[in-house]
Amino acid sequence: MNNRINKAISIMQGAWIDFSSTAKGNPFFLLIPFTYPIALLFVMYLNTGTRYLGLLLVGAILAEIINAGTAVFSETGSSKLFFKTFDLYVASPTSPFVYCMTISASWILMNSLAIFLFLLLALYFTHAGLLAVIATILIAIETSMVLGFIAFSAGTRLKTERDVFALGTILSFGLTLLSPIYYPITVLPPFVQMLSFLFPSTGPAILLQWAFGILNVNSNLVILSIANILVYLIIGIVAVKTALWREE
Amino acid sequence: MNQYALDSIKLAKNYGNTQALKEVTFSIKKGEIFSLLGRNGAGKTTFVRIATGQLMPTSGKLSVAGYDIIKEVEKVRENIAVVPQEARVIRSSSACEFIQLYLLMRGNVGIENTRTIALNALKKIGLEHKANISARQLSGGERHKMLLACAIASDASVLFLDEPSIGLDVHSRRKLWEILLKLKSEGKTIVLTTHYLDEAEFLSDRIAVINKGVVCKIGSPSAIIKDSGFELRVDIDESDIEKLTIPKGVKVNKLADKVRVLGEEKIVKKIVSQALSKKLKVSVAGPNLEDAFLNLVGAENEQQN
Ligand SMILES: Nc1ncnc2c1ncn2[C@@H]1O[C@H](COP(=O)(O)OP(=O)(O)O)[C@@H](O)[C@H]1O
Ligand SMILES: [Mg+2]
Repeated sequence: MNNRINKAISIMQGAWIDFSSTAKGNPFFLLIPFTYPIALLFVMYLNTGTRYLGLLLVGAILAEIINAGTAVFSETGSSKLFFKTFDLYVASPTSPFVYCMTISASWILMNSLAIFLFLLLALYFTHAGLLAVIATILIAIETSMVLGFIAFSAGTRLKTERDVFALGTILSFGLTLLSPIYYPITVLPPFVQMLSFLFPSTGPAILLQWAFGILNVNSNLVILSIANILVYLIIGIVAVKTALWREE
Repeated sequence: MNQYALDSIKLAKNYGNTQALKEVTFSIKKGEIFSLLGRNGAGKTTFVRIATGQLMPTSGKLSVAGYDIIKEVEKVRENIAVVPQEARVIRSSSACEFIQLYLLMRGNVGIENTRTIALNALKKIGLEHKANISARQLSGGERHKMLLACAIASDASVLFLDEPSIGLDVHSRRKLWEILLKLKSEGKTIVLTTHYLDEAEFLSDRIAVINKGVVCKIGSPSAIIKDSGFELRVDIDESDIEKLTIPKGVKVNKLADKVRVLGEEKIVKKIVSQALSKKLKVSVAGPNLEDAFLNLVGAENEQQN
């Protein structure tokens, strides 16, 4: 037990060192998470006023969480193939779980300013309350962990550094646009709705939109969303356990 | 209690069709400085990567710090630290923060605590004045020292250093040697790979010479020199060599514009007096590890990476 608590503290402190040193060295990095969602919000506002801002802001919160997760993919891949700091950690008591959690948490910290701002604005535009805040926190933890696990595991399997950044960006693009985070799933044809449950971000998106009162969900959607989250939780845990920490 | 820090039995590694290691068998005693010597591509890094739990062997058995590298790799990892042949800094963290992150990931707790340990390690290595500047701004040699400081800061009992003196200037190399001897006196076992033969000769209690994945010689530097059978050597200008009759039973190697003749003292002395009588320039010395090494792995001086 004590051991676990110590491990958790080490992870938090490691993430803090990693985040704060990056933020100090490159303060502009902190602005990157704002760029894409704000462009989206601005264009939407010009065209339709404030009507859809709540929906977009909730989507932006999730987009930040997704980007933090997929960043773990690029970081793991480049650390292994290009920077080689990966070797330093593999040949030490650092477990794949600790490595992956530390990086995930560091990326969440990097995006936390944006998440916090979008959350405040989303609460303002949707008039949502405490339930939405709690849902955001739980979904942020769950989604960033699951995506971090899967992204890390995939990152350890990369063969050439050439693919690292392109694949990371495509992954983010797929998750934030093809899964219904910026729009309600109900606008999709029923068959496509089913397909979108193949993405790990779909369950979290639906529950988050529901918690903010944006989406009316029927019980089918709730069950599918929870199933989606649970299945990906299992996939995530299996992914960390089978990561290519030691090479074959 | 196991007296070995490392025990390798018929360890082999194939990358596809390339046999990088072929049935490597040797052991390293606790508290030794042990060098793996070999040309580029000999298999040194492959061995270190297997011994440090980074790479699976194809066959054979290897234990490190008394634990099996396949079945008990977590235990192995608790007892080791590695300085990889190359590693660059991803983020803009300072040298101190880089080491702190390394320690926190290893399971140490406390930002202040790890900072103290990191600063101490940087001090030992002579880099404390660069502790707080971005690690990206460090020179290659300084960055390498920072990686070494990571290993020093860990409480690992077996340290693996893959070509630790690459990119270091003469002073830093001497300093590194001093540090490694100090670590040894603190009871640590140090496994290093190098192709600087002076370094291996000066530091190592024992050496394993690896050639094309095979351990072709193992022993103390002096024993390896003695076993070469060379007692004396003489260097002669290449243009002068045809003026001399070189007797059988010596080894003749080309060294840039010189020729080095190695062999038994009696025979080499004959060549020397022959050369002196013809007023040729010669330089005579005892054989060193380099002479023995070249004899073991072949003297062709083709370049490889
Ligand atoms: N990941 C790899 N895939 C295929 N071949 C490799 C790999 N790593 C090393 N090798 C090959 O194995 C041999 C030994 O390499 P290495 O252990 O790096 O040698 P050293 O460190 O002694 O220079 C070389 O022929 C090298 O090309
Ligand atoms: Mg090497």
